[in-house]
Amino acid sequence: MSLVSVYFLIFLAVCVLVYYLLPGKVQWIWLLLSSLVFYVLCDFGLVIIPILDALIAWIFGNVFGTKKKKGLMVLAIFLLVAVLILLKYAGWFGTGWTDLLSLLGFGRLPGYLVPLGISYFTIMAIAYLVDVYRGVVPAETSYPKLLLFLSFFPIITQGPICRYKELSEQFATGHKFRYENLTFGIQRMLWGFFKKLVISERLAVLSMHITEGWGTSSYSGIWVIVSIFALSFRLYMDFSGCIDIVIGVGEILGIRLPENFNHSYLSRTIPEFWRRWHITLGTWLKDYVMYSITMSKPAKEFTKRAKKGIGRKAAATIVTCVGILFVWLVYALWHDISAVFLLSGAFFAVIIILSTVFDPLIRKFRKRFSKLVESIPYKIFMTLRTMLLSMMGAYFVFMPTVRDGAAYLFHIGKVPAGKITEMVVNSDGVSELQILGLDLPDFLVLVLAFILWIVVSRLHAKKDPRERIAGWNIVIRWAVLVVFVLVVVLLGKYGGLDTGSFVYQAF
Amino acid sequence: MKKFAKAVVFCLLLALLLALFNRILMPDTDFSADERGGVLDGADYMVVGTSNVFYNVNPLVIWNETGFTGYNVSSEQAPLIISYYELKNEFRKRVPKVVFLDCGAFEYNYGTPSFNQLSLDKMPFNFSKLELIAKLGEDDENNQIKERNEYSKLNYLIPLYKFHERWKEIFSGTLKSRYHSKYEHTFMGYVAEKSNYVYEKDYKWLPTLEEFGGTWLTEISDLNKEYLEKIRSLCEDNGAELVLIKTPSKGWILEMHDAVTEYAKEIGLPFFDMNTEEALDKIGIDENKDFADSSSHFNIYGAEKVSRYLAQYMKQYPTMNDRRGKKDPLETSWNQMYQEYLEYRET
Repeated sequence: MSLVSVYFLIFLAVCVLVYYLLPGKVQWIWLLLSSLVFYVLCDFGLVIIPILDALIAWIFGNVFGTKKKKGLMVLAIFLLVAVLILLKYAGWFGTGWTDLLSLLGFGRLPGYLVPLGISYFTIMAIAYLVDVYRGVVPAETSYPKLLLFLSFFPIITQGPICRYKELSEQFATGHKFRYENLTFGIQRMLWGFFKKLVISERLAVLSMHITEGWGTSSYSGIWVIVSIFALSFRLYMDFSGCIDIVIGVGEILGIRLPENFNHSYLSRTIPEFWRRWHITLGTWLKDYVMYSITMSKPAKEFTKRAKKGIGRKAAATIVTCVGILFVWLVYALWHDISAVFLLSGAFFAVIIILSTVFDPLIRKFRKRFSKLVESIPYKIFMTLRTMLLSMMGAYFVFMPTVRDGAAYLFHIGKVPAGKITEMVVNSDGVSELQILGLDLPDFLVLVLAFILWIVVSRLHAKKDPRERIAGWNIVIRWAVLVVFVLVVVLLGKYGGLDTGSFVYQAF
Repeated sequence: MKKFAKAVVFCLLLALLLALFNRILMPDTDFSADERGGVLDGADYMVVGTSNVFYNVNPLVIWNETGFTGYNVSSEQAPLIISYYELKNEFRKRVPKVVFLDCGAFEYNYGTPSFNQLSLDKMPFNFSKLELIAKLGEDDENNQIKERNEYSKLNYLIPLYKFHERWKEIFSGTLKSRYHSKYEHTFMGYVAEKSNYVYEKDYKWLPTLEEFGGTWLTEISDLNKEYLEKIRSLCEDNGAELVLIKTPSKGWILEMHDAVTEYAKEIGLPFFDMNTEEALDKIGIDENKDFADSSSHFNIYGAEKVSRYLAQYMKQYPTMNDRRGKKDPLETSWNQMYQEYLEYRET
C-alpha cells in the first residue's frame, strides 16, 4: 500500500476516526495495531522483521539499563546490522541464500527481498540502543511501546528517522482531537501529493532517458542539462513530497515529526547542503558515527599525543576528517553496496574534508572580502555552484555506470538539428520533448507547477502558508483549497503502474 | 460544531466538483440504441453479447425482413458476467419478448480489463454496478486475453482515476468526440463499419483450438455456467424467452461449438450456431468483400447477410409480431430509420 494511493487514504481515515474515539491512554495501542496492519498490507509476512528487531532492541536496551558492557553493545549492533545485511544485500550471499529466503517466504518476486523500511527501523533501533547505553534515555520496559516506535506506519516507508525520546513522549501522552491539526495536516499532505504527483512524476519522464540509459543520439545537448536538472529535482520532490505526506499524517494524529528538508537547493556550500537535505539521516550520522569516532578513546589519545608534534588544531582536524570518512562510508553502505554509491560518498567526503581543512583560509577570505561575500551576485554564484556539485553527486548515483555518466556529459555540446523552438513544438512532426515522453501540455504544467513551488517555498521562508490561508476569508480560502485539490486530482500523474512507489523507498 | 458543519459543506462541494469533472472527462463510449420517440416501446427482442453482436447484427435489416423491433445490448469483448448486468439494467427499462444471447463470451471468463472499462463506463451508477465491480475478476493463465498489468478496480469505480489526464484533449479538440471513431455511425446498437479487410490466408470456419492457435476455453467454465443460469432466471422471472445464438466468427472454435450444443440440450435451451457449413452456405459470405477487420467482424455488407439470415431464424418465435401493415404507430419511425441506414450505406 503506497502512501499515494486511495487505499492509504481510506486506511488513514479509519485509523484517525478510531484513534480520536479512543481514550488518550490507549491511543498508542491502536497506533501499534494500525502500524502492524499497514505493514502486513504492504509486505505480508515480512512484518516478522520489525518485530524481531524490536525484540533485539528491547532485550539489549533493558540489559543496558542495569549494566553497560561495551561487548554487548557491539553484539547488539552486530545483530541488527546482520539482519539488515542478510536481507537487504541478500544477493551478495549467492543463490543458495536467496533460495532459502524464498522458501521462508521472503521475496515473492525475484530480487525483492527487502522488508519495507528495514534501513530506517534498523538505524532507529541502533540510535535507541546507543542512547540507552549513553544514558540519554531510560530503557523502555514495555516491548509493545518499543515496537510501535520502530514500526510507526507514517515513518516506516521513508522516514524521517526519529529518535526514541521525541516519539515515546508523544505516544504516551494521548491526543485530543483538534480541528486545526486535521486541516493543517491535510494541507501538508496535499502539498506532498502535489510535489509527488504533479511535479516529480513529470520530472521522472524527463530524467528517464538518463536513468533508463536510453541513449542520446536523437536529442540536442540541452536536454542532457535539462534531464540532469530534472533528475536531482525529481529526487528532491519525490522524497520531500513523501516527507510532507508523512509529517501531515503525523500532524493529523497530533504527533510532531522532525523535518527532513529545509530548502536544500538554496544552500551555498556542500556542508550546508547536507545539513538541509535528508536532515534526520545527517544528524543520525553526526550523533552516532561522527560523535562515536571523535569522542572515542583512540581519538582522544591521538589528539593528546599529536598535540605536541603537529599542534592541537591540526590533530583535531585529522580526527574530524577520519570521522567524516566514516560518516560517508556508512552513508554509502546504508544506501547500497555499490560502486556508484561509494564514489558518490567519496565525492562528498572529499569536498567536505577540503572545506574542513581549508576552513581557516576560507574564513580569512570571507573576512578580507566581506563586501564581495555579502553581494547578491556572489551569493547566487555560490548557490548555483553548490546546486551543480550536489546534482553531479546525484547524477552519477543514478547512471548505470560511471562511464555512461561521463559519456552523457560529453553530449551536452550537441547542437539542435532544427530551430530551438522545434525542440518543444514541432508542427511538422514529433518534437524532441515528445520523444522524451512529455507532450506540450504536460511540459507547461510542469513549468507552472515548478513556479508555484518556488513561490510557495519563498513564502514559507517568512510564514507558514497554512497560517496565511487560515487567516483569509472563507470564500477565498475555500476557493484556493478546492482549486488545489482539483489541481492534484486532475493534473497529477497517477493511475499508471509505477507512481505508487517513491525513489527513496528502495533504501 | 459549526466547524464540523463547515467541513461537511466543504467536502460536499468538493465531491460535487469532482463528480462534475468525472462527467466532463469521461470519454463517450456509448453506442447503445437510441430510444427517443419511444421506438423501443414493447421491443420484440434484444441481441446480447460482444463485438460479434454490435458488428454483425443490424436490427434495421431485421426490421425490414420481419417487421420485428429490437436492438443490440453489447460491449467490446463483454464477458458473460458483464452481459448479465447489462441485461439487468436493460430489463429495468423494458423486457423484450425474446433475448438472443451470443455465446462468443463463453470462450473466456473475465476478459480484458481495458475493454471491461468501456462496458462499465456506459453503465449507470447503481448498486448492481458496485456488485459487478466487486465480482469482476481477472482471467487465469489459460486465457488468451489476460492483461498482465495489474488493473485497479478503482478505474471502474471512479472513471476519473483513469481518465483525469484527458484535460489535455482540450488542446487536440478531441475531448468531446467519440472515444472510438468506429462508434460514429450506429443504428440501434449496431456499429456500421464500411472498411474492407481481405484475409490473406484462407482461415477455416469452426477450427479446432489447435488449428486456431489461441488459448480459448474449450469447455463452458463454472463461472460462465453460473452467469448463464442467472441470465436464464432473469429472463424467466421477467417472462422473456432466452435463445442461444452464435453469429459467424472465425474465432469461434469447434470444441466450444460442441460444448454449447451439448450443454444447451442438457439445460433445454435452443442453440442456433451460424458457423456450421450449412448456415454459412445459406448466408453466402464473400471472403473478399464482407469483412471489416482481421478479427472477423463484418462490414455493412457482411452484417446485412448475417442479419437477414438471423431474421429468418427469428420468425419461428411466435411471441414476436410483425408490425408492418397493421397501422402500428411505430411502423413509420422504423421505416424512416431503415431509410436513414440506407442513405448512410449509399454515401
